[in-house]
Amino acid sequence: MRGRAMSTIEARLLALNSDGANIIRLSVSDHAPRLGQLLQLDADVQVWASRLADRPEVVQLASAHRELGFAIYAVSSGLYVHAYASLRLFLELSFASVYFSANELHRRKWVADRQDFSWSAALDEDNGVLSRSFVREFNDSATDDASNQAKVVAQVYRHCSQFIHGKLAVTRELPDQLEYSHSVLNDWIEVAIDSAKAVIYLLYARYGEQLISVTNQGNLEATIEHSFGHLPEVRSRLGLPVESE
Amino acid sequence: MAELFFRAEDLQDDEVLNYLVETAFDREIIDSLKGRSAVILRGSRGVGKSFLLRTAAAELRRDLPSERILPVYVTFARATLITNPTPQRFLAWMISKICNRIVRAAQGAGYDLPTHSSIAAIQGGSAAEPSRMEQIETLFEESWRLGTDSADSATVPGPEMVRDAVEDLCESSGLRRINLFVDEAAHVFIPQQQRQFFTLMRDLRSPYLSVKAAVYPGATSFGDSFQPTHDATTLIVDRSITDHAYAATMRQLVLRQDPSLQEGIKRYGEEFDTLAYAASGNPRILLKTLARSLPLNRRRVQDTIREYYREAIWAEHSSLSDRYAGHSALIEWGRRFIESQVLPDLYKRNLHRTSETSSYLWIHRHSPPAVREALRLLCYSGILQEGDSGIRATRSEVGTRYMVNLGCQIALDADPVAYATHVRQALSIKRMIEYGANHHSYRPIDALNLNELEGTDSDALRTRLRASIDHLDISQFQREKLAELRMATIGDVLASDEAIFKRAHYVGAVRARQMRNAAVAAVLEYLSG
Repeated sequence: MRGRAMSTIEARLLALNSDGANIIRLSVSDHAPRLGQLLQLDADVQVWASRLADRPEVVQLASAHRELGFAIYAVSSGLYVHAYASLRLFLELSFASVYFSANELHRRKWVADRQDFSWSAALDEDNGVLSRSFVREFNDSATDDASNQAKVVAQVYRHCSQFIHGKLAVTRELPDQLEYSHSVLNDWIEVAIDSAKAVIYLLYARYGEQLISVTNQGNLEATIEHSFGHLPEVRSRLGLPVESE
Repeated sequence: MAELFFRAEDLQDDEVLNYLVETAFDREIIDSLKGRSAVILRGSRGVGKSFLLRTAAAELRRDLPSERILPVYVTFARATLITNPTPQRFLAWMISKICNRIVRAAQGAGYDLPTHSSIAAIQGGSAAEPSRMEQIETLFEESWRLGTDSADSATVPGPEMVRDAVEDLCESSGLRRINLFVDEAAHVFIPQQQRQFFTLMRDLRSPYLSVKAAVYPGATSFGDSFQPTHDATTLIVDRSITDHAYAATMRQLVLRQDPSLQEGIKRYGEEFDTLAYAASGNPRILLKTLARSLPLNRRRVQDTIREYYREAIWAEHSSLSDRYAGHSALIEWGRRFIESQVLPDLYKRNLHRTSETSSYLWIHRHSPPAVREALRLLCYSGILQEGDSGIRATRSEVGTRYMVNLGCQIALDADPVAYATHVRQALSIKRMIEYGANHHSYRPIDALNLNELEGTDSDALRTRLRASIDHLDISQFQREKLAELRMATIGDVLASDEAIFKRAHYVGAVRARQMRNAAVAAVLEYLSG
């Protein structure tokens, strides 16, 4: 029996797919350590998701985590704008999960499509989930550092949005066709690392007081020590040495 | 004005190299830490051990593509937080921490994909197969969490599993080796954990794994298998204040953290130098005292010297008693000895002297073990620096030289800045105040109170007191004499005094003292459980 003939559409897409595979090879060989760093942070987000498995809002966190996976795949394949878009969605879903953790009714209405959710409200510096007013109710000692993270998030979110909105200031750096760009990949990884760290801090600010203990010393504590062990407040919660004056 | 960082841990990994003020001394240490041989890095709190470890790790990380040496940093600072730290649990805890950090370092450098990465999740949720190192980590993690005392010890693997997994990792990733930096490696108050750590350090040794351990001066219990002279190179982090470049280096170190201080330091040079010399080579103390003196001027520096070196540094030392109650007598005696005896002696000696001033003391090698232990704790706090042992003093007697923190001495003067200038300009390491084997200051702790020891909450100490005299580090002759005197346990020996030992034939003052010192030394390490 003769096999099915490949259509030109299929052939063209597979050719792009093949180009993507070559770009993946270049991306990994050029950026292995930074990609490794990002994938480790990505796994750290998953450690938190696993610990929150019995909470309803973990569904949104799991979606966020998957979106980060698609973002990493997209950027490694040379799909740069899509990678920025997915990264922004990762941020939005992560922040939504934490917002919903304190607003279960809203979460249910949103899941049922009976109420919208404002992503910008969740990221808002004054009233969002990294704002002083929100964080102090869950992890008072994290309020100061949370405001620094909120600034980082605002910057990276805006940066991703510029790609989504096609702002020339950033899109002029993008290749016109499917091809590898060292500088764009570099930029994306830096933004993604900042985003992943901010999400880990967000999870710490929301759940850390409840889940982190000096005697536990497990994987959850390792995620925080790795990214935020330089913050005295975090070290104090982990039982690591702190020096104050 | 920038914020001053007091601890290396306050810096992120990618910031560390920006703060390095490199001296030849530092470079030698950093290169050793990057090298192939095992290293023990010893120094008091705040002298910069963590910074040197992290600098070496950062340089290896920077050079990873060309050098292929993977740096792995782990701190054992939380060892005291393990509940019910039996030897088996502590060993499993150490190994699980080491494995966890090796796994993270390998994944973070891009050599391995984390088991639960999102790019595995979008393929349908299947997790990647855990690496061998991750499997070992899980095994030891469960072991220390659950405790293995009641479990079949055959199910708990030995450290050789880690060694083999490291070799596999290096071969599969094209790495030459892993340099493992262990910070706060051996707890100064828990000799049992020191022995276990050093034994593990030796057991992990392989061409693919080089261990570098930062320890405090008191960590000297190496166990039976680890030989410090053969199994590692010991490097001491003591910055000599008699080095001609000392003040300039300390200035650079501060300015690297906050360049805006340049003008103030230039204007108040003598005052800054006073803080630098008072810190006696300890950057953390310099930064803390400088922070208290800003904006810099003479009055603030004078006030800081008085407040910090008369009160704060001692309060920190005394606070050790809260955590290690069994050691409180030694901690408080050490404080009294330095404050009431040594510092006044040095001050009196230096006050009207124009040449060869001193900040050094010498302790006879046959001084009581409790005295030496108390001095070790003062070294841990940074109030003393242990110098060379085997130093000959008056009448060719042999002992150990210590440097007393200069700040503690200059704080005695009404004008600490002027007095500091006077002392530091003529400081001579050859001049030291000598304290013999039986100095009257030793009396309060020379005889440890047996009743107090027997009333202890520590099971380990009670067991030790009931242990046979066979455990004492004495000669066979001395052991026989104790048996003649019907002393069977260490507690029996401690309950006696030298006059009783001398009742045995051929036991004079020297042997009697050695016998009692051996009994005291045998219980000292169990004081805090």
